[in-house]
Amino acid sequence: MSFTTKTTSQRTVVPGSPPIGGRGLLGRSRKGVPPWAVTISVGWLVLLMAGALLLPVLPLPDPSRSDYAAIMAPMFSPGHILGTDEVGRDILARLLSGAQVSLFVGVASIALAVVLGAPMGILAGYFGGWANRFIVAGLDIVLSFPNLVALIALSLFLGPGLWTIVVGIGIIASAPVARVARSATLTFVNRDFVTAARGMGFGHARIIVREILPNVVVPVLAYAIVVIAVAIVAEASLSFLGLGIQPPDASWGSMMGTGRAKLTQAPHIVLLPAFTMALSILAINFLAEHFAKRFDIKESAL
Amino acid sequence: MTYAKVIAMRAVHLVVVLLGVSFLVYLLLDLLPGDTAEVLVASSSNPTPGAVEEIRKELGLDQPFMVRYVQWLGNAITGDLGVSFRTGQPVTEAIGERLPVTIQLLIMAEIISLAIAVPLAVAAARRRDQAFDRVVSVFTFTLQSIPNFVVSLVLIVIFAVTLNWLPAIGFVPLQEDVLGNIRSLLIPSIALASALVPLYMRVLRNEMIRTLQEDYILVARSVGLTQRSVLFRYALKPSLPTLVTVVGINIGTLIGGTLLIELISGLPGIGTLIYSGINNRDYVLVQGLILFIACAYVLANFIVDMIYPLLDPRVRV
Repeated sequence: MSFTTKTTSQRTVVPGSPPIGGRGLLGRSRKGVPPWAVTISVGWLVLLMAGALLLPVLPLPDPSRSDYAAIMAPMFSPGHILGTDEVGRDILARLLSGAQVSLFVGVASIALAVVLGAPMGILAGYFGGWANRFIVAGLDIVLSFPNLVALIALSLFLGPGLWTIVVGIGIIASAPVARVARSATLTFVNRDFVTAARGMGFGHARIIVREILPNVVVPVLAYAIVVIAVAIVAEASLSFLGLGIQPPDASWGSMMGTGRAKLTQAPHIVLLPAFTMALSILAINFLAEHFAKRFDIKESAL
Repeated sequence: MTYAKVIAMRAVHLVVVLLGVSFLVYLLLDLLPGDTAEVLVASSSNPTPGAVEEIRKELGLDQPFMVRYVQWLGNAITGDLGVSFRTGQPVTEAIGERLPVTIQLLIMAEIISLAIAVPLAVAAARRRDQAFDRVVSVFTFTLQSIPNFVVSLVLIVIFAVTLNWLPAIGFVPLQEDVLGNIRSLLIPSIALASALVPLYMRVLRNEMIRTLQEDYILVARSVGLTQRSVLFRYALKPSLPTLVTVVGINIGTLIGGTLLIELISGLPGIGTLIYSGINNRDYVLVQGLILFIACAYVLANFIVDMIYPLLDPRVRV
């Protein structure tokens, strides 16, 4: 789980040498993601989103309320279809409540990352020279910190909580987003239509907004989908450590973190959020790969 | 550009990044609410009035920020990262104690992942886009989607709780019991490898496919060399430098990235040290550790950049 493993595959070692790393997640095969995988991914995410949004009206127990008559109830218990956790809270309700957190963190942090990172990357790619060198060095500095360590340091600073997670992930993820935006800008900045716009006497602002931006949006958004998955894992990791979502609120990470103590007696407390998270990440990655193929985005071009 | 000039440019960049990293680390911890002097006084048994001012002066906290930063940086360069104010142990010494565990974990994880990824990649590249390649692709794609700490929890449930083959938690030092040591690191290193296998496999497969399209492979085939010889001697060897660079970069990334795995398996490595430092609000320790981890990453990248052209004659400049 790292924002940087993705970007290491995009770096060029020495000018003129081939880029390191793979092509898409599914390799360089001509075929894209199989259609059934796309259907199942969309289905799972829609189900999860519907469950998260409809949680208040679903006939489920309150996710924070303990049922002292049924502590650590196994799966398929009466009244608790997925059982209860170590203090008797309904696991299904908590999974859906955790889904709310994951979806919110995924979308909000990536929105922040794009708003912060894309302009930096476009400016670096468009103007080159010192602006480029300054921004690239800045990005390298941010990317030198392991994500989780940087997030933990930020959480010390901002105090644990939902907004800390969103702001922290947003800031850290803005660095790889800026790299993607910069590389995409570089591939367009010397194209004929940009030269033509310049020849017609348009200013930098107009060229960036009208000529560069529309071309950079697609690769940035395709990359952003991958980062949503990374953000969800980052939130879970922080909450697992107890530095993210605070009790009694539920998060997949905190469910695993607190349930870990009961791993021997009731492994389902840990395994259910683990599987829910893994499936969701897989679904998001499949969709990201599908879009990348669909819009013919090659990592080698980044 | 000559190789020397490339090195010089990268070295300048390296120094800039390292300075930026150190400044950010110092700034962040300096901005934290509550300063070291107050924490020290609050934790001492009989705080005297004016003790805060005294300690502040003693630690040089009354100096301006830039003066303190330059002093701290000068000490850090000579290997003095300060003293943990919880345990009184020098931070460098604490890192030295914990680092071997993390390094051993990383080495085991790298061995396991290469042992799985290299044969898979060679086989998949040979049968490019055929059923085997597709199945391996989907398998590695799925594996990549599962966070490694989730993998470690699932492995503990299967191999420690249910089958009782391996210990769930705890660390046995190498000097005490070699077999016990390897057993105690097996689950965490497999969990770490689960994230590395897909990456290595993908990189090597794509590189192999590229190499297999070279003319000399066609020549090797046409003079009647066996499939095995073509694959391993003529295709795998020139494909390895790329893999080596990715492995190198990942070692840099993983030094701090093992935090959750170490914590789950109860290993006394760098990851658990930073976690306890944060829980104890031992800022000097945390500061030194973050600096160490970030520098390790930057240096690993630099070294990899430097040796890549030496490994692969095709990009020698």
